[in-house]
Amino acid sequence: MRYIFLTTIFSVVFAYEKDMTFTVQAGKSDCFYQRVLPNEVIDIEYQVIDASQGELDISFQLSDPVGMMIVADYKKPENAHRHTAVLEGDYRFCFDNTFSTFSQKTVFFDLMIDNEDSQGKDYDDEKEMELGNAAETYVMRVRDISESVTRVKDNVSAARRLQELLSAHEARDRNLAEDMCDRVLKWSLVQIVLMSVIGVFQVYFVRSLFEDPSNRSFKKLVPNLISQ
Amino acid sequence: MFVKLATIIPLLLIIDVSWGLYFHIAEGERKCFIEEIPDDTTVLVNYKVELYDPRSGGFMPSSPGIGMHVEVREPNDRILLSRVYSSEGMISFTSTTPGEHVICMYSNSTSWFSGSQLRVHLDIQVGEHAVDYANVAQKDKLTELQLRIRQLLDQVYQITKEQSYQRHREERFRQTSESTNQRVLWWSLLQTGVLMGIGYWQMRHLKSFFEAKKLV
Repeated sequence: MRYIFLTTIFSVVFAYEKDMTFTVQAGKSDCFYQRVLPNEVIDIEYQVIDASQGELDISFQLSDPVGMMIVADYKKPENAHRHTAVLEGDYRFCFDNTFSTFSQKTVFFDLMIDNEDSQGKDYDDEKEMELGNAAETYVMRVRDISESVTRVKDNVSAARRLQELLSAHEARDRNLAEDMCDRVLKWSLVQIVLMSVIGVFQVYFVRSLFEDPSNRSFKKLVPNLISQ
Repeated sequence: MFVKLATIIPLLLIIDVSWGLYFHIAEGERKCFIEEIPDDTTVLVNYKVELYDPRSGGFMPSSPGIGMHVEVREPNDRILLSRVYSSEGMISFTSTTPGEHVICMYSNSTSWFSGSQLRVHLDIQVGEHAVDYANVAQKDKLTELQLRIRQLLDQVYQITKEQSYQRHREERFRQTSESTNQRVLWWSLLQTGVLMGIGYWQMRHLKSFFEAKKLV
């Protein structure tokens, strides 16, 4: 009986998945490297979720082990790429913030390396034939349970991954809303102060236009307006 | 004996292989990673550093003396963990409050060749990925099917925790939007009031000034 479980687990294909959130400083470019075998599919999806000031965008480059660029994005807020690897080696993907002088960006990316045959999952296993006909009915019942458990696990993993993606997208919207709230307060205060200062300045300026010409300090300020 | 060995090998396939992703950092450079997690979630951070060897042009695996300073900060900017580890480290922490936890790492050693770089292999596992199922299977003596079901239970529990954290974040988002709305309303009213007040004061002041000057 143990052989059944062992062999069905062997037939589940293994995919590498990694997601990260990090900050790229202004004027810098952060690169990550990942070892990929030929015929594996590189699936990368990224999104800018926060910027200290300015637009939420970043440049992205994906290069193969010999240095040839596969994909290059310029100032995109989010994008997704899928590429089948031809060469074996360390593939490099970079998040480039060199176009920005003051603004640091927070970027979320999700990298997935699929084996080519992970698309069509094959739950049959030839090794079970070795057990012989006597236990065949029992084997099939147990195999059904094992198969459905594996299917449930795959679906739950997909739900989990989607949840993590949605969480990153929501983080971006929430950061935007919080920035907006702070900006409203800051600029309202600035406007009120500016209005008051200008209002007072206007009155004193108009007064100065009608002051006695003998007051010499004003002559320097408004030489054209005060008549001799 | 063979049976025990045969049960371990498929379990290794379930566990993620860690050393996939790596990046380079320069001396004194600080790299930070943000993990937004609900409360009561375990996070496992595995890293391995290699020093660039200018003689061979490659990266040699860890020499002693290369240490990494790892700092973990909670959402309210409180330091949860701040320690120096050796060239290969495994850090585990559990979150007490939900929110953005920041994991920062930088090298503290100065015994490098100047201008050289460090290659850091990093692996961050959150929640159910941080559990070592081989250990769990051995401790609780589970068969493979029971282990699969235990994994499913952990995953579904993590999903429900994440969903309730999502509700909490949406509520915070709604509060932020409502606060923005309130602010726009009240500050605009205040600005209009200040504008009218200043206009009125200007006219009154100038009128009395011109009357004093006998121009009106």
